[in-house]
Amino acid sequence: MKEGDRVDKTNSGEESTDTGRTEQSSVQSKLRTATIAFGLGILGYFSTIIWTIPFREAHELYSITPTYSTNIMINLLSIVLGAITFGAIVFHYSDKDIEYIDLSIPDRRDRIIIVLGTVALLLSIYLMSIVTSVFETTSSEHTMRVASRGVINPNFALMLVPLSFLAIAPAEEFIFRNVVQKWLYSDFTKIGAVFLASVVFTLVHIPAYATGTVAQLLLSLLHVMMLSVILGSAYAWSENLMMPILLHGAYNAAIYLEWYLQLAFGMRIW
Amino acid sequence: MINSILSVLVGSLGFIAGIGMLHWLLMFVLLISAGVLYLALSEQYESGKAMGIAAVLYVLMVGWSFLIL
Repeated sequence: MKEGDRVDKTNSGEESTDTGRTEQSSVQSKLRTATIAFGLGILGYFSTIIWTIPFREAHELYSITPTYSTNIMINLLSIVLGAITFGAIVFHYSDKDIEYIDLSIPDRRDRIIIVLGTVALLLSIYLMSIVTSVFETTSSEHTMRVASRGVINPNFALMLVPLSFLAIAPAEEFIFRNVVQKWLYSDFTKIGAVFLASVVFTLVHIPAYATGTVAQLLLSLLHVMMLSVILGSAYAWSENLMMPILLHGAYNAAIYLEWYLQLAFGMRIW
Repeated sequence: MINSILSVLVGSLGFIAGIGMLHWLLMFVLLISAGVLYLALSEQYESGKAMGIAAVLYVLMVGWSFLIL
């Protein structure tokens, strides 16, 4: 064996050890980033839950039983206040500030994507209804709809249509797209970040859909996951939070509008 | 004069007290949303225009909520 060969082998051994170390630290870094993203998602969820407590306590203090609509409005307000609290915590404990929020007015190209995305989301609702009818099953309903049976003023469902754009979508998209998904960009590709953020988004929706059997729950969560992937992709592509906000708002608005038509006129669209 | 001021005051108080919890919560949600909208719009438009859009939206939404609920 020549001296040069020995040196080469030693070098290649060192290189493979270095490569192994690099891969290991890369995996560790990815795991760390994913864990923090998951923690951020959970923090976002609990920030909204915590805000419901003072409102419920205030009702109990005065022995008032809140109506169903009031309860929904408390939840809505909690989502908005929770998102603001979440943002304040994240900005306080990181080097980020309000400039971190990617908000801008959509241009013409963005508006085309918003229309196409909304059509895709509405098609996904139809797809889900076809899947459920083929397998002769149903997906689990949102706790909001289950609890409302027979006790809600149909006009309240109509009121929720604009609130989808103004309250629910901005709050949820800020937490799951602008913070969780964007955080994942540091160690994952955009596709990986969209997928992982969607997993977190789907997991925090489990309590909202835990109203039926496990199979029904899984079907609903699959739909939430599809929705989240579309929203995440819109954000990843445009880097403008307004895109997923408008898409999410349009999707929720369609659901509430269908709910209104069902409550007011007995019409079922899907 | 004093009587009319008092009657407006009492009428306003009566109106405020008569608003149910649902509307109070709704107005609060809309107020925050309008505030966030103003912040978002003021990045693109001049402050007065952003404030105007947010304020008009707030008034319209609150008015509509009183009409339908």
